[in-house]
Amino acid sequence: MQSVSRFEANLLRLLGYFLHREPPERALPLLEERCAAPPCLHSNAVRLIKNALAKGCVFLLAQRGGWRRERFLRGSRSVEGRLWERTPPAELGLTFSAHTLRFLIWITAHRLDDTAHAWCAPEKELTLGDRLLLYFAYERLRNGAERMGASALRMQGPFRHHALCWLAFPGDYTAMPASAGPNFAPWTHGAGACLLEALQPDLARRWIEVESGKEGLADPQAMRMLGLAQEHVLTAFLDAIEPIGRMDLARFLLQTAAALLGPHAHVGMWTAQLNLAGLRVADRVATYQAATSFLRMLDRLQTWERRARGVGYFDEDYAASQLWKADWEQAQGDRLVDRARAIVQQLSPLRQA
Amino acid sequence: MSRAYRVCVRETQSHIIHAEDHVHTQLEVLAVLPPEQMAELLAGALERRGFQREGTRLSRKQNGVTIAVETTTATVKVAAEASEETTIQAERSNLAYDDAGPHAKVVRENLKKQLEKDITRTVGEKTAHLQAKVTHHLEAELNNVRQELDQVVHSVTVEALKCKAAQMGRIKEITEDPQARSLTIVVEV
Repeated sequence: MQSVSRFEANLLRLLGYFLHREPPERALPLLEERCAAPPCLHSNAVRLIKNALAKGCVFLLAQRGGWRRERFLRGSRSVEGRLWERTPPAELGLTFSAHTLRFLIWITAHRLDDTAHAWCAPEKELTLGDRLLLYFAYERLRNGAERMGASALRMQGPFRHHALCWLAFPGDYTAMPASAGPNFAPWTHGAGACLLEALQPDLARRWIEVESGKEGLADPQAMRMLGLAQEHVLTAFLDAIEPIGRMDLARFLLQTAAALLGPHAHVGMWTAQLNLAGLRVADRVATYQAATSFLRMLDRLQTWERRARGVGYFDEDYAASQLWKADWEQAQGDRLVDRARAIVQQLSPLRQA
Repeated sequence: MSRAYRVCVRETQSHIIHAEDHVHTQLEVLAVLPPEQMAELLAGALERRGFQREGTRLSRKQNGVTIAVETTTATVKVAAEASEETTIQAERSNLAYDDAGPHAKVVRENLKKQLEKDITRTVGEKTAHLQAKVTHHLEAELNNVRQELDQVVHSVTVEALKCKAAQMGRIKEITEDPQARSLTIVVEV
């Protein structure tokens, strides 16, 4: 039996909540009950935190999608298997810096919207483990503690540029200034890319949710802001993975399109509730473009496929091209793009006239 | 016994209100020939319909709507705008305890502020009314513009196909059915 102080117990419970080990009803009250931070943590608590991070993060990654037998690029060839079969486990190791501990101490000691004592960490100093924990923490807090100031959290340094949070929750980043763009560099190489592979089903599910939610969106301004945020993050993401030939990391977009653009897909799925009465034609067009930002992005994925067709066996990016062609065929990409174009076309101002 | 004085403030302002609306769209021009040749064919077809050329951009104004086509990118901007000079008169009055004393001054200042708000609101209403007219006008014109641009794109495609066929060999026969919008070219290679 290891004993810890009240503060440390609260911290461990919140960490357990972020890692899906504690139910919200046991953890969320702790976000309201503030507890003064001690000068340092007991070694017992530090050991328990290390243990929770090591097991919890790995468990979540495996559960979210790491367990799936998938095919992804490894260097100049594609490899099939579970995440730990595609990459030796030693290379998948995550490092957590002192910033993780500082974040956990801060969130236990302060309110989320406490701007006077906002948590901040230099973006460059964050390790992949820190970033992953921040993603899991944000995911839980936005779902469970939006009222308690989780929205203030994303305005804080490390969350403003957290590419995985941007990619999974583009709707949360509609009010961000233009300078606060997502930084995809940590997620496109090495273990970061492996994490992105494991989270593909998560990302697909999130994008299906966001796109499905547009059907019930009535406010044109809200639609425009959502569309802009989606376009912003997708452009940054595709720009980051295209030059390094990691198109396979965009597989979740194909899965999203396949789920949304069935044979009965229609324009109302994106614009049914939009209240456009009294708007200028220019504003209506802008709103429709925002509503279809995801659909219009599929054209770029198709250009990748067309380019991949011309890549020969001896070319450098042969494996990447073959993998993308296989993904494209499996999702019936051409059919999806045709359906997406038909929907975008229906909303074209000159077609509606 | 005190007397009440009526303070009345009247203001007349002239405003020029402006409203505009526009649509950007892309012409679906098939890439039958290299982009420069397709752009030239598009420019030619538009010129025959009265568009004025300014470099690679062609434009025409009809019924208060300006259609501008950038031939290199095949993008179209259809815009409508209107301006109106309007004179707004507003008047407000209230009671004051003195004729030209401190209370009358305060009342007059308050009335002036209220008048400013009244005028701003009226300008807003008139702008919204003009904007609605412009938008309605643009919507009405878009139907004609669409038909015309469809015809332009069709004629450009036909021209491009003829050029392409001529490059491939000797054209023996061209059959065109405008109603079915079909074109048959027999080429001897």
